[in-house]
Amino acid sequence: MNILEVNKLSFSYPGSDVKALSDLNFQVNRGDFVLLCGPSGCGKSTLLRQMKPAMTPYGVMEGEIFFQGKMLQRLSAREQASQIGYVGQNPEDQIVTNKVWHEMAFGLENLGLPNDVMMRRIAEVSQFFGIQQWFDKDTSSLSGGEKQLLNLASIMAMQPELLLLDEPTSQLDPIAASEFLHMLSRINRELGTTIIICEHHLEEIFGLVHRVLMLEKGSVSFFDEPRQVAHQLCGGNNALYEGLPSALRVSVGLGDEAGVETLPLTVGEGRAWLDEYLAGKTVSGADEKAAGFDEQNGFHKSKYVIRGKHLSFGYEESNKRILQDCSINVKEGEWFCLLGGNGTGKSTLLKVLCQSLRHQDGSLEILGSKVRKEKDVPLGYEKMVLLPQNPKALFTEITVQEELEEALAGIRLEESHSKDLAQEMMAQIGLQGMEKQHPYDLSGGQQQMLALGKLLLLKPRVLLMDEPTKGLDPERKNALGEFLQELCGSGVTILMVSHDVEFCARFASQCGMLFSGRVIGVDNRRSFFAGNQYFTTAANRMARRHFPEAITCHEVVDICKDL
Amino acid sequence: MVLCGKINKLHWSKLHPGVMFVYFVMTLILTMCVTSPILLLASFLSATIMEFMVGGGKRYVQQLRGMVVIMLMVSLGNVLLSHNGIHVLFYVNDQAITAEAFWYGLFFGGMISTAYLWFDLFQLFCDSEKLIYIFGKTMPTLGLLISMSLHYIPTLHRRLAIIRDAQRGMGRDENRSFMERAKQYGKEFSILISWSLENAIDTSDAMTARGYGLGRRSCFHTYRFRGRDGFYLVAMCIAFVLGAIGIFSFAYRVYYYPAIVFPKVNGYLMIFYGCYVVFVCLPLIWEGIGVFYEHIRSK
Repeated sequence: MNILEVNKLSFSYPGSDVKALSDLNFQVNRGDFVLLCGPSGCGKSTLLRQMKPAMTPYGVMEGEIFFQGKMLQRLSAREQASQIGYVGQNPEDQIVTNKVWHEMAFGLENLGLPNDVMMRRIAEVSQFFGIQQWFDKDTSSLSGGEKQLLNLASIMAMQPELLLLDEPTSQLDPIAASEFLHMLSRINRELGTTIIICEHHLEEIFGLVHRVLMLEKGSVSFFDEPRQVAHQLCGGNNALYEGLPSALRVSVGLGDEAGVETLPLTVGEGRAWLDEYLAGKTVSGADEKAAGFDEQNGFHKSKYVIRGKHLSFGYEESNKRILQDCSINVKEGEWFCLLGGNGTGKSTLLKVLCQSLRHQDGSLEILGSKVRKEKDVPLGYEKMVLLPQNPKALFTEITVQEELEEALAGIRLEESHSKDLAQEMMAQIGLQGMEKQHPYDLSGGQQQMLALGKLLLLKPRVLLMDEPTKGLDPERKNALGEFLQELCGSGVTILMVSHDVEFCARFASQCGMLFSGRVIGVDNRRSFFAGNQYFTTAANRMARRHFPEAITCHEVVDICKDL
Repeated sequence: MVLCGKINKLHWSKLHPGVMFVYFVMTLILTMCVTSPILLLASFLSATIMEFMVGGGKRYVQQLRGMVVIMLMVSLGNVLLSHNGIHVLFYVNDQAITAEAFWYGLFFGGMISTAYLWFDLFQLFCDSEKLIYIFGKTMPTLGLLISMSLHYIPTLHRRLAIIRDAQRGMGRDENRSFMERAKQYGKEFSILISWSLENAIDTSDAMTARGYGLGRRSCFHTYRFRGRDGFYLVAMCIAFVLGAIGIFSFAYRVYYYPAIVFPKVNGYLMIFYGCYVVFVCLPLIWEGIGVFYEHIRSK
């Protein structure tokens, strides 16, 4: 029996001739776990919001949607609120109240349920989610992952039949994201709740869902089981390819003709698949070939731009030191990626380098000058700059053009000159034609580029970045990577901290790990990832038995093709 | 907060928040309308002991300093403004400075200090959860509003810190002159506002998605009205009524002007005044009973 039936659904935003959704027809069965995917701007979020009338944006809608056999629009506000749950992207902004228990009660209070019913539902849900331990905590003291789990739990307390999620893990670190997705899978398996989720990082979720609905330019291009959809993507140069799980990317990239059933979705399946693929072939010279992928950039100087020795830092309130005897050296022209889990002190290290936190021990030298006081740090024009995690922290103006010009305020330049520079930058960061737009109206990826452009107008010699790939879709991520690679080639030193193993493996020149307050295992990217057993890319984990030096999907595919 | 641990161990804090709230309101009435310095002293001492129990001596000494200043200022002000009274101490600018004005000022300052102490205790005992319950029960929207602001304040704080760090990362910290710094603060504040307004849209989406505005809200809480709450409530009300007679009826009042007149001591007065003292000491008595019962049970 189907829970949702979409007939000839079209939607266009006011004042736009282009249909954001055009003539969609599909049905979702009760108890299905459906992944909604497609390139940026294909109408994923728009479609998701059509399924909950309270969230539907203004615009012209045609066609009809049936929910449990009833027209969606005919559903009472009450039924709609309790039976269709919605979880959005940003964990922080969906939280309304100050206590965890109150947050879980919020939806139930709105339904006007009596106290003992609420008590019981909250107790049940807390047990299911395992959040009894933080039941009494303040919501503001939770981590991002915990916040998003709480958002999910407070929706589940309302006992919805259908759960809609719009990129719920895009702001989370990989471990929290994985935990969240597995919780969804458990909800689906154990409670039978129908789930429709919109995602662009498919590595983990592709193996969990029952069906994949792929949208392209507002219409359904595929709606089938994951392996079937993956099979259809074979060969075709699809925008979605980059987001697929590594195992699929390798097998699809090699044009596997063996059949749909054998397509691997996980690393484990991928290993077995590769063993079979390589059976009978001789593997030799793969490592040399892998080494050949490393481009030499001309800027290999021995001059250090950042030298931190034995840095340590801890907050006064706690006895624990976040940085302990931490040494970091970054050479000019390098792209240095610092990886590490949550709470290992990655952001703290960046703050110490900028001296918004003062190190308590050790010495620091940046761009050749010793940092003795906070004011000694060479930040700003033609020195070092920091790209914050959230680009909104930099936006002050009402148009893109003015935003870029604002970067040069305080730096004595002729006005016409700064206008030209802004224009030039707009072209570089791919925002030409958008000069009159408000920065907040740009997409997440464009905002990131605008913030970067703003900083680049300051002609920095060192660029610090805090999780620059957070919330970007695979396409944007690649564009950013290539942009930064070019920048690095022109002599700008980049130091970035990140969770994103795949991104770093593809683009960085040096990698290191932050653990227990120290920087560990600094090496060039290939040796770093090839030397790790766990903390490495999915492609490497999959192929390391045959080609230990291959660390990205492209490399594995290229080596295999040459055999 | 450090104090929470101590508070939660007290028997009195386990009372139903509604009862607790009514008690605080009644105490404030009895403290602000009192005329007898002896009763005021009883109220003051009871509040002091409670402050010691939950806040500790260090915190209290700090508060005491402030209270002494208030008392002196109020009595000084009263002496200069009020020239009523028959015991003239001396003249300043042909204006009489009277002993009665001084004593009344001192008494009045003491009253303000005592009321302050009770207010302080109120905010120590009634944490956000209890407040939301007390107001949410009658006005659910107000309860939600309190809860939302309590969530929002730390969020804004954190956001401002992020903005400051980001601006510093652009080299915007080197501006030295006052004007430039003021301009920079303005900029940071404006970022905070637009960022927060933008994100508030998501919050309001999340609220509608969860059915906010469907109709009358209920208010979730984990409190239960138990037998002991009823017992306390009855005892409290009796003591309040009798104590109130003691301070409101003209026969038992203390008069400061034109001369200080104490009421005649008789049996009734002793009963009414006694009830007043019992009322203001009720939390302490309750604590004593609780400890006593625990002691018996442990044997």
